[in-house]
Amino acid sequence: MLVYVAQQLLNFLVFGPWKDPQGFNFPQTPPFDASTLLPSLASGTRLHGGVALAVVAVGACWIFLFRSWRGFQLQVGGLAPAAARYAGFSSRSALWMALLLSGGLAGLAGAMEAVGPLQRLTPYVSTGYGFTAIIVAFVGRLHPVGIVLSGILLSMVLIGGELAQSRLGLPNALTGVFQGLLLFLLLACDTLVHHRLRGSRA
Amino acid sequence: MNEWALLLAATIASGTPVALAGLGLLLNEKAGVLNLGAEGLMLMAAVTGFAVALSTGSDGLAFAAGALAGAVAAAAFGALVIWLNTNQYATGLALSLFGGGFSAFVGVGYVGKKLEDRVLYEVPGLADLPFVGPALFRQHPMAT
Repeated sequence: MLVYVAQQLLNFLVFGPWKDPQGFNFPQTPPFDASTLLPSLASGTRLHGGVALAVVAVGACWIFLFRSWRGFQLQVGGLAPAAARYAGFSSRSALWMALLLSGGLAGLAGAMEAVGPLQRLTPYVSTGYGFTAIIVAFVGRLHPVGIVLSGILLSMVLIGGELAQSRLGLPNALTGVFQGLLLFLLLACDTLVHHRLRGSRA
Repeated sequence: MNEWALLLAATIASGTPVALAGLGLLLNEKAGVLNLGAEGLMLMAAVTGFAVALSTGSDGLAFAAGALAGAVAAAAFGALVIWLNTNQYATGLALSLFGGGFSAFVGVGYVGKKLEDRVLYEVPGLADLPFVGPALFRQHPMAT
């Protein structure tokens, strides 16, 4: 629900005090200084240094989850709360850890979007990326390395939706249909992964 | 009619769908299910109801079709959450995304179409009360 609060705050800043005086009244801030922008990795494209940062973050996340004591406590707390309590792990501190880390990573993503491809603040910094990210997490089977692959998959659906709109004239809404169906089917498929179907002999 | 009465009337008119959806979510919560897909359900029901109202001209049929569309989509949600034991949050989110995309996709053909104005329903006698009369007793039948 804080999504709406944050979006309205962004709107207020971009339409109000931070609006570009030379921006022909468009709701956007002046472009950031060149020194604050992320370096471009390939000239002529929107590929920027944030990609390298994301790969580093994936590695750090993997090490944290699977090779650190705090990460182990967090995982046990999520899988078996009773076992975590018996072992003396504080579920509150694990939760705080998870929430603060995820908030920091989400903030990093937003900041990189602003100083990478957009190079200024507009009201459209995030076009539902946060909700897409939840799908990315589930499609990536809640594993840091899976996240990379599912992130690429979901971004191909997003970009493909835009291409289908401009080249084939298909409505962009198809992207949402595909994302929703993907998550539906993935969740339903879990049943077949965890259980075996057997005919009843009754 | 002064602007406060107009404000009251507009509040009631726009509060009606929220109250109805809230009522449905209340039932969900009481049963222990968190349905994040309400947005998707409402969108799918809205586009179905509009399509039926436009083609048949009957409000009653449109309401029934909208409710049926919402129930069918909720049945899909229920099948996943109740039978297959999927994660409620993720399933609801999927329903939200799917409903938004589906309604926009189906609704492409209806962009710019308009239904004729509906007759406002008046409670006899009470509608002529000063201030509260027009706001509370002269509304679309759905709101009263």
